Amino acid sequence: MSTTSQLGNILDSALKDGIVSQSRNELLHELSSLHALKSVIESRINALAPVSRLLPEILAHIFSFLEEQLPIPTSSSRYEWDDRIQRTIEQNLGWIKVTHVCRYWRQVALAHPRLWRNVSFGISEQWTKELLNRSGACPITVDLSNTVPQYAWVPLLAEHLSHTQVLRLDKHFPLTELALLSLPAPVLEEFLWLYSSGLFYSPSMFHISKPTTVTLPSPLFSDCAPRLRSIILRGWDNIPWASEQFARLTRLEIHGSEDNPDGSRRLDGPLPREDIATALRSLRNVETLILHWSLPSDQRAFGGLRPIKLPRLTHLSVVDKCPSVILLLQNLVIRAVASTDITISAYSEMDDDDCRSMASLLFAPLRHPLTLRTVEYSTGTEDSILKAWAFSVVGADSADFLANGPHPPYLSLRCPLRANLLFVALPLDGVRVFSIGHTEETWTAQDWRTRLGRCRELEHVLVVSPRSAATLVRALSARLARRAPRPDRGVMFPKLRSIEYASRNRDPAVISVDKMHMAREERGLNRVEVVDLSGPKPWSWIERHKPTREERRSTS
Amino acid sequence: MPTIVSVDDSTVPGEGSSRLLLLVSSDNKHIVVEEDIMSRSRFISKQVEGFEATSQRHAILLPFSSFVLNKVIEYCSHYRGYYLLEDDPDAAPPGRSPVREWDQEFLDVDRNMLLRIIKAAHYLEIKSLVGSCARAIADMIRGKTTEEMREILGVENDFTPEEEHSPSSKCTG
Repeated sequence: MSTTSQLGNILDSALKDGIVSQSRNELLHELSSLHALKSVIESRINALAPVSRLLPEILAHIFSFLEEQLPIPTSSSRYEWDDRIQRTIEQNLGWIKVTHVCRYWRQVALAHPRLWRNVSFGISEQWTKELLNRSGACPITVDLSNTVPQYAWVPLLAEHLSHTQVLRLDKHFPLTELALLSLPAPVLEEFLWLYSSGLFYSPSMFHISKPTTVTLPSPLFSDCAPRLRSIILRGWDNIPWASEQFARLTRLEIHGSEDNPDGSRRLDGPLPREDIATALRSLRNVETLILHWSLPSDQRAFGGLRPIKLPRLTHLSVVDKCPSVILLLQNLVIRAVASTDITISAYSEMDDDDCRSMASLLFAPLRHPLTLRTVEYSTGTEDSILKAWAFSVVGADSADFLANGPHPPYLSLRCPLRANLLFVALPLDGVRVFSIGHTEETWTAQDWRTRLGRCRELEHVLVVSPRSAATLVRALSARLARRAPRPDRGVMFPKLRSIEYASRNRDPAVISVDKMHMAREERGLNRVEVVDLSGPKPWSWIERHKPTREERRSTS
Repeated sequence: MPTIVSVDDSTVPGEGSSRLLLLVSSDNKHIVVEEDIMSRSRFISKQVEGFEATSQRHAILLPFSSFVLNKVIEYCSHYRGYYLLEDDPDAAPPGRSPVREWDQEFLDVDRNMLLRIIKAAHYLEIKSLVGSCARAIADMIRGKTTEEMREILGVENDFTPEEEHSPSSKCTG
């Protein structure tokens, strides 16, 4: 083949390639136009859908519920975890899946900055910047707990601190960047910094020692955080109590850690506990005070005999060893209607005399006639603790009622060592609900009547596998069965309406009780309910008797 | 088009001073209801204030059907005399509406009816009902894939391929 013909072939080929390429582009353009046309038609179809005729603000309202229930993942680790259980990427998107449904939904979501107020820093820098952009000037929540960003995120946070409403940090925050906390935070309402990790109620199980003593900057946020009302700190050494922010707080939580057995303090607890005693005097507006392993055990720390007055306190929670708790209770003046929950560690290590004197002091605040009384006492496998609540219900049987304010007086005993002593010390007169489980005591029916005899208001009893359950149920149910009590003796528990009994081994003594109803088998647990049936079960009863929001407001 | 009619300033027998309102639905049904019941609606309250200013009471025309209107009246009747924070114009915005068991049963209706009720509640400015409906709709699509959401609410995927795969789209998810 000649050189000329070869050149001609190449040119022909190039020309053909050019034509093919051009044709391809034309087809792609045509396809793109078709896609655009399809999209326009689909948008018109959507416009006819009832949901598309909702106003943007209504749709945004619907999205706000999804945003609350399906938050955006806060860190890349969430993705890894989800991948391991083979979830699709789509399921990881949280509420923002709605932006993939149609154009209108995406437009609505992007046009409402409040929907983007929870800013995740943990996935990528690009993502964080995009979220900050979408949140606009709306007050944002920055939650960096359990998050380790892999980029320079502190300058980004510093830039947006001016419209940060909630700031949550943990031990991953670089201590070299503490200057961030000296910047003004004009809309900040909640600040949480958990320096150590671990469980709240078993601090001895989790300890992460800090390399150095760490001090929070003073003044915090340059004393320019006028809306700051809640501070939660765990594992800090030095807290700037002199900062004016503390005087305005309505909620303060300090979580330290348990002392070593030899009495020395662990490194990851707030070291100068004495400062807390002094600082309490400045908390004039505090409504919720939570002090876990952060109290001094020396009376001198409380500055003599002058009591600490917290006139607005409505909830007090203390976890500590007995001497510290007693000191606090001796020095504190709170409203009689305030809710308290007090947990004393190593209760079983004390002797009987200590327990008696402690109990009278501990429950003194509960004796006020206006105060509803709730007590839970349990001894765990590692440690024994005594918990006392007033004005609230907490416990495995009553988790549903946690957030709903005052409840009927409730006494719950779990594995109670020295239960006998407690029955004498506790103010049981007003108890209306009694729950007991896993006791080692073997009491007769008469023993139970003696111990519970003061509970004239008792209405409901829940019994979970106690050794003396049969005798307890017999003691109580004998009164139930007697429709016409002997006039000369009266009825010991005149208001008793129901007994609920659960046991792994069905007890013949209980089965013989009148009006017993055999109930369902539930997770291998033979559940027997003994109910007078003229009244409802205790928990539904409590549910119905919960005060309304208005009643709670008027009470407070 | 419904006719505007004058309404007597009469009271309900045995109910003391509760006056009557005449509501006219888009299908021209006339529904008489006690003013107290509808006082939860800020729209109605404003209308009534207007009547008091002019000393004239008229029927209130509403742009939704009697079927929907009756549902709204049922809701307002149930909560007559109850204080709901969301409906208090003087209270701070409460954020999310609380879950109310009765509302869940009341709103156990088909999708289209639910959408009509929320639109009516929004028009009448009954915030508690808007909140409960919004929660019910959110519950309807929670945990669903985007395709399932489209099916449930009858919408099409109207994104072009470029919109679906653009970087900004990736940032929306």
